[in-house]
Amino acid sequence: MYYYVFEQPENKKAEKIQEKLKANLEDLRIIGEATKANPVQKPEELVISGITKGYNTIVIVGSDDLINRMATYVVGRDVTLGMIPTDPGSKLLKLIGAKHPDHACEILPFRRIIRIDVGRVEDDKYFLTKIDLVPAVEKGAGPKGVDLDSASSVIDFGQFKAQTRASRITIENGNLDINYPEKIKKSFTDGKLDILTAPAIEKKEGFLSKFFKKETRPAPYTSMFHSENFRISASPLMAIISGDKIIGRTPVEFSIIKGALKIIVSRTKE
Amino acid sequence: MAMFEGSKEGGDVSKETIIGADVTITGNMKSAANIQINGNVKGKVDTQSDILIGETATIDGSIRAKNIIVTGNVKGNIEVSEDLEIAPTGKIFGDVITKNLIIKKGSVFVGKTTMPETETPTTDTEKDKEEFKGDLIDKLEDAEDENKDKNKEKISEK
Repeated sequence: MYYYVFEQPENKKAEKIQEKLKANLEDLRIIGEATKANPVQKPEELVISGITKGYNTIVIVGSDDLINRMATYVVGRDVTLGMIPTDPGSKLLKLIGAKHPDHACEILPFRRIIRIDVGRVEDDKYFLTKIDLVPAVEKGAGPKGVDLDSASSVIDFGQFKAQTRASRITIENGNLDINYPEKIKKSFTDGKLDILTAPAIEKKEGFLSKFFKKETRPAPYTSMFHSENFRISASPLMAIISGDKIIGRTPVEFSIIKGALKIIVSRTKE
Repeated sequence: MAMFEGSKEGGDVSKETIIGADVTITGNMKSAANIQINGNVKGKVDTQSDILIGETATIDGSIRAKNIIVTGNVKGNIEVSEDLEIAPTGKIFGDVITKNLIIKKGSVFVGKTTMPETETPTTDTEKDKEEFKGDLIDKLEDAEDENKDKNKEKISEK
């Protein structure tokens, strides 16, 4: 039996989409117990409740960020994760081999299960897709002349260290930016995390910049490493962000847990 | 040079290591996939695949790879199993062991080169010649033996 956790809808449009998906699941006769996150009950509490009740399949219906965070509560238990990503342009649809959320519903009854790697942050937090690290100090704080949009960071891989002034570091479990299903699956089962770093943003201030405030674009990634485990330290501190939530700060250790999560994917996903 | 074949569509680009110009590496790097270096490296670099050393790269240590293209600065020994190319902006201060060496105009190379000898392959024509020669020698020897035997018989008859 399936236990569904629906994300709290942000607006009426999102609520209508959820109703439509629920009706679709009922038509497919795979509706089990459906719960919806709300200000009183957070999604993680609902997931834990489903596991406690003995459900062996938890299906998260919501954004990629929500699904990414909920993986934490399923890892290490004999539970299969199903997902119905509802973000327009969701990248997780590629992971499960679905073209759109309705297709993701149709995948569930066939229960084609694969094991994928999961990223671990320190000892107790996990992620399915990616984690970002950004400088944690607020702008305006600190002495003049100090660049607070970047942090002097050191990534320790054991046999070597990489040092850089980074405006952003992203840790990815797999690559969802490519369009080859087999390569996507391979990137989530290769036993390595990918580390991407972006340098400090160059700020060129001219005469007119005093009058017009411009949003600085994020710098593109210039480095890429691959490792099973590594440690990141930074000065000033960097915040560890999953989706839009801060889950910790540097120094932090990352590692990969191979084959730690069972997910339901499309039968045609090869 | 069959360099960075993984970069072509269908190749395993995802496992390539890229060191940006803003990064400094200290220690020994080991990889199975291609490595692109645009930053600073103080230590050894070892891969079973190819290395591209960018114009902004400086490496202080030894390097080992299948193929290497140098467009930056290297201070250390280099060991390559296939091709080593030093581009016009490339500089190497160290000894090199390589199967094939390409030095472009404008590059700098200060050091010794060792190019391991390989067996010269023989063509079919040459092989045929050798075989014919061998056959001829055998025939001459046989004829000589025959003559010797005949002489012995003649002597014994007398």
